[in-house]
Amino acid sequence: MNDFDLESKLKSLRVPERTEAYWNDFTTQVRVQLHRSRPELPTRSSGGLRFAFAGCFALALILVCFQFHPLQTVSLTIAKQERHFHMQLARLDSGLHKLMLNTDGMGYLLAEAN
Amino acid sequence: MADADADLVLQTQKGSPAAFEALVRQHQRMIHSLTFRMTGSLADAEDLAQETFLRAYAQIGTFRGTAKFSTWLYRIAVNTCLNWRQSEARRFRLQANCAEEFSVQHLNWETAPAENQASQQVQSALLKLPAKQRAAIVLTIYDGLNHAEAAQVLGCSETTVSWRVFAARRKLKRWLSQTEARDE
Repeated sequence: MNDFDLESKLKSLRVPERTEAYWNDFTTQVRVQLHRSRPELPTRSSGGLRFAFAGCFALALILVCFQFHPLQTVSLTIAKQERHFHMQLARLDSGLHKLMLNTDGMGYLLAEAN
Repeated sequence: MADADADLVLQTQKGSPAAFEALVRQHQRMIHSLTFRMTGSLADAEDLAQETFLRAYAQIGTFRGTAKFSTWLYRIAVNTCLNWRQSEARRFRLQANCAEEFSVQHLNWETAPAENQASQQVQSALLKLPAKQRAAIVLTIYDGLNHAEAAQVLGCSETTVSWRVFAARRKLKRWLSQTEARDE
C-alpha cells in the first residue's frame, strides 16, 4: 500500500452527519453545563493578583520563620552576654586603675566589694 | 485569530456568556469531528467536545491571542482526548463493539455496505494506534494542519510530529493491508 492509497483509505472515514437540531441542542447543553458549574471566569489581571498575593504570603512566611527561628534566639542570648561581658570588663578596668593608685588597693577593693 | 473570533473572545473575557455561545456554535462541528476521530464513539465524542468547551471557558482569561483561537481550542480538545483514560476492558469492549456501533451510526448515511465496512476498518485501525500518534494523524490528515501547526497544537516539536506521523502511517499501512488481504 502506498501513501496515496493510505490517505484515500483514511479519508474514507467520515464523521456521521448531525442535524441542525442536534447542534442547537449541543450549544444549549454547553450553556446549561456552564450555568450549573458556574466556573469563575479568570480575567487577565487575576494572574497578576494571584502572583502578588503569593509573593506577599511567601515574604510574611520568611519573616515569621526568621523571627522564631532557634538560631535567632541563640544569637540574641549571645549578644546579651557579650554586652554583659563588656560591662564587667569596663568595671575591672576601672578597679585595676584604683588598685594601681592606692597602695592599700587590695584592701580598698575588698572593702568596696563588701 | 479571525476578526470575528477576536471580538467574541474579547467579549467572553469581559464576561459575556452569549459571546462564548457564539464561539461554541462556530467551532462545535470541528471539535466534534476531532473528538470522534480520536475516540471512535459518538457518545464519548460528544462528552469530550462538551468538556473541551467547558475547559476553554474556564481558561479563556489566559488566552492572549498570540495563536489562532481555533489552534488554542484544538489544543484543549487534543489534551482532553489524551487525558481520556479508558480501562483496558473498556478499550477492548470498544474495539469489539466498533462494528456494531458503526452499523447503527451509519443507518442514516445511506452509504453502501462496502463503504461502511471500509470506514469501520479504518476506525478500528486508528483506535489501535497510541493516542499521541492518533492525534498526529487526525490533525495532519483529517484537519489538514501542517506539521508546524500540529506541533503547536500538540505542544511538541515539529520533528516529534513528523516522527509520530511516520510511525503511525507505517502501522496503518501494515494493518490495513492485512485486512485487505484477509477480505480477498
